[in-house]
Amino acid sequence: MKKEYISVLAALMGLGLLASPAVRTSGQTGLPIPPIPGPGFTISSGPEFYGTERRPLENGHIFHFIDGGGVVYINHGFRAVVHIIFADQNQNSITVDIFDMGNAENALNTYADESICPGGYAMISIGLEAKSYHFEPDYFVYFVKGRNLVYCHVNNDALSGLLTAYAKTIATEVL
Amino acid sequence: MIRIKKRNMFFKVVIFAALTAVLLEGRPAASAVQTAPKSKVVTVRSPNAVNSRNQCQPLEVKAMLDQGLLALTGKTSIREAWTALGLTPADIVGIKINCNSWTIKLSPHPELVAALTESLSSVVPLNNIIFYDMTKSDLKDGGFTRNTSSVGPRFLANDADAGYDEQERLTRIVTSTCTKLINLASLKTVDTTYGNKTLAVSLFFKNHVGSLIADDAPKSHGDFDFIAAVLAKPSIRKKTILNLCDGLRGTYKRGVPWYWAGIVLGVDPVASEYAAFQVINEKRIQEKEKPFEMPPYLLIAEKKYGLGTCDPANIDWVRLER
Repeated sequence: MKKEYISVLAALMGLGLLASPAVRTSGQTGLPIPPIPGPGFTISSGPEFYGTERRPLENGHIFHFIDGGGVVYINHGFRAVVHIIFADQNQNSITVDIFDMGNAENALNTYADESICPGGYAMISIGLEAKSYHFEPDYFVYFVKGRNLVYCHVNNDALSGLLTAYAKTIATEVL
Repeated sequence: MIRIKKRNMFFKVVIFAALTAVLLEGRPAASAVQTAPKSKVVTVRSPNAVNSRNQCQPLEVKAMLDQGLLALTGKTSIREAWTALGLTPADIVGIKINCNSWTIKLSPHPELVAALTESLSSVVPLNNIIFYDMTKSDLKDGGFTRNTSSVGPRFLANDADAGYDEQERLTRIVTSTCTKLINLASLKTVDTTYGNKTLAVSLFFKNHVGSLIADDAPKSHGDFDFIAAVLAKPSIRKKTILNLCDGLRGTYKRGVPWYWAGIVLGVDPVASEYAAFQVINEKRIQEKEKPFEMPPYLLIAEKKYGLGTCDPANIDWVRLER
């Protein structure tokens, strides 16, 4: 019975019926490449992959990405990050960073660190708990799923609903 | 006899003068101490320059820059002001920008970049103006289009357009291409701890870490002497004519922005950094956050490298409000 179930599941996955949205991953890191956030958006920059100084990835290490601020992530066990920016014709841009923190405990500790996620947030639910920030005109969300800390940002808070829905997609369908 | 007495008196006076000169050797004359010029720093603020949605008024930003340059130099025209700062028509000016877009985007405002370009073009051709940062993606994330052409101001990336000078371990944009430099920093709080050392802010000193060979940049983490030494590198030290901080929007806590709606200008990088740092601390006090202690690299920059002063008694801070 169990084998039959797995066979059916594999067949469905093969047909792409369960994979919505289609999730590409980086072979080097296993990190997913976030899908297009919505109509009108295309990839503006990236995806870029950064590792540690010892194990840099194709775009280098975390200090090439966020320089000194990277130390805080390193201290929490950082392994890799995928960074991507989407933009539309109206100069709206959505940034997504998915950090691989090695394990769930590290990811949660990073999430709790005010150097990463400062105070002043509002808790929201995107299928799981998330911290949302509104610093006009920016709106961004942090959440943890497994070993990953995820940051989603939009430069126009009028699109905060879209961003929240997109974060939920990443949390529930991508990771 | 009288002549002899006079001669003895003359010798006594000469000997006294010589002894006095020896005793005072190495000390500046009293009059020199009294008239030693202070390092001038100008801050210009305008509530009309930027709104709460980070949208700038180009004309107001330009007016702020003009007013700041004139106040800094004491001149009456922009062209005279740049000339007083050492700019000549043949110069190629490199402007180090900080496009770090992590969390809160604090890349320089395009309106300030445009105002600076227009201002500089009163002396140098547009194509002799080069804005640069570490990587192509930094420029793109900062909202700037790379331009390596011979038309208009250039936007270059260290990793793609220049290569590095192995001796100074700097981008060749600094060592070879440019004859003058402007340090265009952001008003940024990083509050990052390296072991037992905390780096509170990322201003003029940290900005030029992005002029280094990329693999040298992490050496600045927790090494305050290294940070101070970056601005003491010969090409940066000799060529820099202005330090300009975009404080239209800044962060006073890591990742938490506010609209200070101002700019900071100075020739002395240490004094300029001191003033910008104080701007952040003033906001922290206002928000009931603990103020930062003065960054240790400022004293190192002053005492060891002689780059300027962080002693408020030696800084003439002109605060302008529009």
